[in-house]
Amino acid sequence: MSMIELKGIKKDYGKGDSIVHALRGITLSIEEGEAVAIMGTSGCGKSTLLNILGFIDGLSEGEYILDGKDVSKFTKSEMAKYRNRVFGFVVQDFALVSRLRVDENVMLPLEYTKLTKKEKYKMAENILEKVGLSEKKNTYPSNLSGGQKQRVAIARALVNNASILLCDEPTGALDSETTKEVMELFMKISKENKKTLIIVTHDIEVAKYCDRIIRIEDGMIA
Amino acid sequence: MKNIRFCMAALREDVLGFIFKIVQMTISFIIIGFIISGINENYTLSRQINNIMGNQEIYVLKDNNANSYYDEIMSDKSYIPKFQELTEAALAIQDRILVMNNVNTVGIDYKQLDVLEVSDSFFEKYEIKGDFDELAIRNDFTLHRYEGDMDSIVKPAILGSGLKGKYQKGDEITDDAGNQYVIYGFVDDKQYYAAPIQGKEMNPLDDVIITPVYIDVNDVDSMYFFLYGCQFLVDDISELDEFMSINNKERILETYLVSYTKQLEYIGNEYLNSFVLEGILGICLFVFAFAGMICTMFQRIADNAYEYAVNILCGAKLTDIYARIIMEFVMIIMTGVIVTICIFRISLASLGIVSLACLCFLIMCLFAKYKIDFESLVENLRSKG
Ligand SMILES: Nc1ncnc2c1ncn2[C@@H]1O[C@H](COP(=O)(O)OP(=O)(O)OP(=O)(O)O)[C@@H](O)[C@H]1O
Ligand SMILES: [Mg+2]
Repeated sequence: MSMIELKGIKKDYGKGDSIVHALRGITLSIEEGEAVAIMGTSGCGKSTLLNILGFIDGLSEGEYILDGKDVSKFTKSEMAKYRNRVFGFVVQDFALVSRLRVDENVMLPLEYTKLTKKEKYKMAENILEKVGLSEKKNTYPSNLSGGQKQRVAIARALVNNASILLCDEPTGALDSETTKEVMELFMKISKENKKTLIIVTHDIEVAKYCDRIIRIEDGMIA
Repeated sequence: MKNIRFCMAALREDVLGFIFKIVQMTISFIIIGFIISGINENYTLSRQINNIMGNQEIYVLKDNNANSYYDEIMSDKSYIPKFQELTEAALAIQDRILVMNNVNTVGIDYKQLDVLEVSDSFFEKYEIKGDFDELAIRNDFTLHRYEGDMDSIVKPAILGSGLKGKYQKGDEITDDAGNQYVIYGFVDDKQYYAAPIQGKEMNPLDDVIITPVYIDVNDVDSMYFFLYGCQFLVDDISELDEFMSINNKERILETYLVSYTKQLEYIGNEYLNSFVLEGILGICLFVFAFAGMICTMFQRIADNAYEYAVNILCGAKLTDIYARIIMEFVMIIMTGVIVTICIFRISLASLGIVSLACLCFLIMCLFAKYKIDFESLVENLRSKG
């Protein structure tokens, strides 16, 4: 059985005349440990798909089976728990909280667990070491370069041992050199720990790292 | 826990604003609390006094004339028989007469005491409890009509509860003016009587000396004060017709009858009028404080939308976000509530403030819910490029 199974997923935004059919029936399955790139023109519905996968957006029609369970039966707090434990998000503009230090940013998902303060710090430190940012843990995001910020975001996505990484243009704000660096880090960590990786990207160089490329056109798989 | 921590972090950025809001909210709560307790007190007093009256009504004579009139009758000997006639008419219905005079004070052993000249029905009507013999009251606290030398009389006296330790039953005491008293007993703690004609309150019987009324029927002054001290407790005003007709026919006193009910209303209205200004002030302050809180809340939501969205990404529930936003205002409101409860203890004012606080909390929750929904929060995460 696949880790993720989507059957005829549709998503509409708005109502009446201003209705937007962002997704028009997506059917696909993704195996555990697979690395998948999602590509397509701007506005074709990539982010929408990723948000639906990660429980930060609902679907209008269709079926979403995650690890054998029907997602439509999940309660809001179960979904929050999945966002916390199962999914790790990485987005283009990093989604870091400027008010918080690097280590506090990384610890954010741990705040929604029952760990002690000590355990949280230890976990954050470990993961920061893995992404090579140990020295920066006490600085604020505004003092970091783009590549460093993205590595903080990756650390945060990984800190709670997420099994599915959802990345929306993770290298969109980075130059090609840094992109390479970040992607190698990404692949290393995810292959080592058998994580499922779903990356939305415009960049064919990024997609090349993945096992499979899914192309979306106008809300449907091409 | 985590939400409290997040909230504290947000507060640290604007400590002064937070303190200002606490002060504003607390003061408005206190003012509103005072108004509630004032109105309640006013209402409770009316009820207490009405209870005392039962189905009856108390009438008192109200003075219509200037001092010159008083000077005139005092110096005119021809008024003595007229006053005697009127005094007799009052004494004829003496079972209807309640408190007499409470306008004098005397000093006894360097302590100032209010003198309360009463009739026996005073104790019964106000249900005054104390350590004294009821029979002795009935016999000796009747109205005393006398002619002659006041100095030779030893008056029976019941002392206020505050004097219990100082004297014994049966002691004889003399006041500064040379009047002599023999102590019949003491009033218990927390006993009250009402005299709305002088202002609306239940007067405590702590520092008083209660004695019967002595009317010198050869002295216009004495009769004058007796008549003006009378409180007629009647089922119907017609019971006073005869008394009033004697007065009007002989043109003795320039006076009219006022009922307690009228007087209570009058004082009550004055009372409420004085609250109007305070009320406006308190409510304005409250509205400003509350509006300020709502504005701050919206501001916080706008400022931190991205952060909230990131938290949702990391596993926060929407309720966590609500809690984080509302926590700050709960702290502000709770401070106000705690201070008001410290001031007003368990009372209607406290209850009113707690309800008001709950209402605020509810409105804040509704506003928060209306201002934040999952979709628009998460929308912040979409790259703006
Ligand atoms: N909240 C929304 N309300 C209305 N329409 C929306 C909303 N979010 C997305 N859309 C529309 O849905 C469609 C798909 O949007 P989506 O963000 O998924 O595209 P995308 O493939 O990620 O594009 P890009 O490459 O530019 O990020 C677009 O036409 C967009 O305008
Ligand atoms: Mg997108």
